[in-house]
Amino acid sequence: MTYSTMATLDRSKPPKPGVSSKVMFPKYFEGKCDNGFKYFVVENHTLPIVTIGFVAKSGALFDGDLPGLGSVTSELLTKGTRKRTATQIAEEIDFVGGSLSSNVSWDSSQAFVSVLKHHLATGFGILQDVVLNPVFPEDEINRVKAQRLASIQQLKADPGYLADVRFLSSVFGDHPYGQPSSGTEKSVGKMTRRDFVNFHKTHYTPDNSFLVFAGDVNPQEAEKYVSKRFAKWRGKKRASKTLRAASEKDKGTVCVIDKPGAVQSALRVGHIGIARNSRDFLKVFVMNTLLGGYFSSRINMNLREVHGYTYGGKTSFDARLLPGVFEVSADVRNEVTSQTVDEILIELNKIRDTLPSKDEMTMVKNYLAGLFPIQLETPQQVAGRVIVIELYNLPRNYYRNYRDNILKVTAMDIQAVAKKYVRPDRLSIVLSGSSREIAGKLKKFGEVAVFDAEGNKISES
Amino acid sequence: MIDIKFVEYDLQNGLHVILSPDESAAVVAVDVWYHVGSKDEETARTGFAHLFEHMMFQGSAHVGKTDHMKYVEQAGGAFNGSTTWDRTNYFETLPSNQLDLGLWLESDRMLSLNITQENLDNQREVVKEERRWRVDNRPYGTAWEKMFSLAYKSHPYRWPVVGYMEHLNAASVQDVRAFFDTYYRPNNAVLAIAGKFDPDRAKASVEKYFSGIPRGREINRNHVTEPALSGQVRETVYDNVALPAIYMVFRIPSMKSEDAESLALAANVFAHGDSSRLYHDIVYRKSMAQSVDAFAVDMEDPGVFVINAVVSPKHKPEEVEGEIAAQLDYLADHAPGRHELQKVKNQLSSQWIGQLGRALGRADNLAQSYTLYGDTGEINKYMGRVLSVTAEQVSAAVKKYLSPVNCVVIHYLPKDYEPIG
Repeated sequence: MTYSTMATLDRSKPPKPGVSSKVMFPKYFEGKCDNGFKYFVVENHTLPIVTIGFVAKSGALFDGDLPGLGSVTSELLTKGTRKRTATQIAEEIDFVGGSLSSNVSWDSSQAFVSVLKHHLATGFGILQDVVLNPVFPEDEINRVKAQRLASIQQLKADPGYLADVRFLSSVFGDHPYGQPSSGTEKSVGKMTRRDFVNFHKTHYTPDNSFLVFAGDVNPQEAEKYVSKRFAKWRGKKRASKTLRAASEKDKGTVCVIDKPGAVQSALRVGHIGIARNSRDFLKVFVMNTLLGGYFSSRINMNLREVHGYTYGGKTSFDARLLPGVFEVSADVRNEVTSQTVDEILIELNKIRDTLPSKDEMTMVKNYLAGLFPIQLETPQQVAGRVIVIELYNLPRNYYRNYRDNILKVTAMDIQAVAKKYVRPDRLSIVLSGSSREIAGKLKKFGEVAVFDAEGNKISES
Repeated sequence: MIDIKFVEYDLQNGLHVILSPDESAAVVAVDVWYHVGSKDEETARTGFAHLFEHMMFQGSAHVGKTDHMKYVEQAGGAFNGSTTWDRTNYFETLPSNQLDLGLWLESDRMLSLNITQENLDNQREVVKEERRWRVDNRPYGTAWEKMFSLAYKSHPYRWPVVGYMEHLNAASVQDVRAFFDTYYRPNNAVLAIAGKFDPDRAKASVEKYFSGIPRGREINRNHVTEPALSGQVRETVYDNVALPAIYMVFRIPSMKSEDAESLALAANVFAHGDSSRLYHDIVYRKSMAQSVDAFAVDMEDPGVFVINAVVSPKHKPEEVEGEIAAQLDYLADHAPGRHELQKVKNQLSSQWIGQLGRALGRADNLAQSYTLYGDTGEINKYMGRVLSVTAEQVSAAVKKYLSPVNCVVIHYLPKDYEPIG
C-alpha cells in the first residue's frame, strides 16, 4: 500500500463485513445421577481456569415472611461446615488464589468457585462442602446479621437504593417481589438459625439443584467429582408450591423519597412486566432493546444525546419465574425532572402507537444477533446461558435457534407486544431526590406521596 | 505461565500497532490508546480529557453525530471509552468479520473529528450529570477527589479526572480543537488488535485506514516532581453517609518502579480475601468494620496506595485506624511467612490470568504495556517479577512507603455524627 492509493481511499462508506463465521452455541455435556441430580460441562481449554457453579432452583421468591432469608442463608454457607470453620474455608480458598462466592437471585441460590486448573480438587472440595454441609453456627449468624443490618443502614444513604426499594413496593405491593431481596432491618433482625436450616433443607436438594463446570475441565473429570459427593446426596423431595403472580394495579402512582440537598434525582418508572417462560419473551426482549436496552435505543438517544438530561437512560424487563418488573431508569438533575418524565411518556406511547421503522428493526436485530458470539466469549458466559436453560426449563436447542428467532421478529410483533406489555396508564413513578425542588413539578402526573428514607410517609398532595 | 504472542510495528506517521491474533473465540477487539489523561490538562480546564472522550463519539467527517454507536451496535459490537490520569482509550469488541469497521471508525475520528458548539454543549451536560451521579450525589462519592487533592500539592494528579463543574462550564470549542491537534495524533497513539483475525489482512487494513493520517508535533511532557509529604495530613469530611469511613492514602512510586510488585503483594496480604490480615482482624474477628480494601493505584508518575474501611455501627473511626496502623507496623517489621507469601502470589497469578480471558482484556494489557511501561513485552514479564519478590522485599516496601508520615488520613462522618463516648 502506498500513499498514492491513499488519496483514492473512499472513506465515505463503512467497509463491508467479511464472511461471517458460523457461531453456534457451543456443545455442552449433560449428566444425571440416580438421585436426580444433574450436572453440565462447558469444556474450553483456552485458559487454565475452571469455574464451578452450584445452583438451587429457589431464590428470594421463597423468602416467605422474612425478606432476605434466601440471601442471608446463602451468605452463611461459606461461614462454617461440618468439616471446616469459616476461617479454614477462607484460608483454603485464598491459598490457591481462588474465589468463592454465594448469592441469591429472585429465582435461584447460587454458589461459585473459580480456581486454576491444578487446584480443581481443592476448589471442588470446598464448593461441595459449603453447599452440602453448612452448619450455620450461632456466632457466625450474629456476625452476618449485624453486618447485614449495618449495610442496610448504609444503603439508605444511597438515592438509587431508596428509589429501587420504593419502586418495587409500589409496583408489587405485598407480593414477595415487592420486598427487598437483601432483607429489611425488621426481617433480618427476626431471623434465627432454624430459619436458615429450614431454607437450606427445603431448597438445597438433589432434585432442585444442579452443577455447571466451565473451562479447563472435561466430562470425565466432572463425573468423577460429582459421583464422589453429589451422587450420594439424599434430600427432601421438592415440595410443589403454587406461586401466585402479583396483581396488576389499575392506575398509576407518584412517590418521592425526600433526600434534602440532593443534586440529582434517581428516577424509576414502570409496572409489572412478563415471566421468563412467556411465549412473548423474545419479542418483548427485542422491543425492550429498541426502546431502552442499548446505547442507540430511543430512550437513551432522547434523554442523553438529544436533551443532555442524564448520563444514561435505559429500560428493562426483568423476566422471572413469575412476571417481574418493567422499568425505565435514569438519574437526572433536579431542574429537568418533570421534563424527563414527559419524554419517557412520549416514548412509551410512541412504541405502542406506531410501527418501528425498517431501519430501526434491522439495526436492533443485527445488534442482538451479532452480539451473541461476544456474549459467548468465555466458558463462564456460556455456563451462564446453560444455567438459564436449566432454570427456566427452556428447550435444549434454545440458544442454537436464538439468532434465527431474533431475526424473525417483525415490526408488527414489536408494536403488538408493546401494546400488551407497555402500559402508560398504570405507571408507578418514583423519584428519590430533593422533595422541595421536585415534588411540586410532579403533580401533573398524579397525587404525589412523599416519604423519608425510613419509608415513613411525610405528606401527600 | 501463559505467554501472550504479539507482533508490533510503527506506521510512518508514528502510530504504534500491536497485533495479537488467536483462535479462542470469533471475536476481535480494536483498542486505541492515546497517551493523554487528566494530568495533561491546564489547571483551569480540569476534566477536559474526559469531556474530550465524550466528544470523540459525536461524529467525524464520514460518520454522523452518534452514528459511531449505531455502526458498532448494528454490527453486533460493543464499544466504550475510558479516561484516567494518564491515558484515554477507545475500544470496540466486534464479531471477527467486522474488524475493518472498527478500523474505519477509529481512523475517521483520528483524522477528522467533528467539533461543534452544539455537540460540546450537549456532552457538557451529559458529563455534568455523570459527575453528579458518580461524585456529588453518592455516599463517599467525593472521597477520591479529596484523597488526591490532599496527597498532591503541585502535580496534576491533584485534581479529579472528571473535573470541577466550573471548568466543565468554561470549556470552549477552541479548547477542544487545540487538545485534538496536540494529543490525538497517530504518534501519540497505540492501536492494539486482539482476538480472531488474519494478521496479514489486518496489517493491510491498518495501513489503508491509518497511514494517511498526518503526524503531529512531538509532545513535551514536563510534569513536576512532587516533593514528599512533609508529615501526616488529616482531614474530616461531613457527608450524606450513614456510617463513618476512613481513607488512608500513602504516596508510592510509579507503577514502573522496582517496588511496584512488592506493594501489589502487600495489598493482598492486607485485604484480598477473607483470610487477609485486615479483613480477618477488623471485619471478621473484631467486627469493627463493614469492609476493608487495600490497593496500589497503577499510575505512570508516582502514585498512591489506598486503604479504605467502612466503620461498623458502635465503633469509632479512630479504633479502626489504630488497628490498621498496627497491622502496617507489624508487616513493616516482620516479613510474611512462606505460606502467606505463596498465597498472595497465587492470588496475583489468578487475577492476572483471569483478565486475559477476553480479547479486550488482552488488547488493553498490551496497549497499557506499551503506553505506560514503554515495553509491550511487559505483558509477559510482569508475573515473573511478582513471583521473584521475597518476603523481606514486601516488608521493606511497607516500611519505606506505608508509614504514618507519608500518609493522608481522611475520616468521612455522617452530618449528624456524634462521637461515641
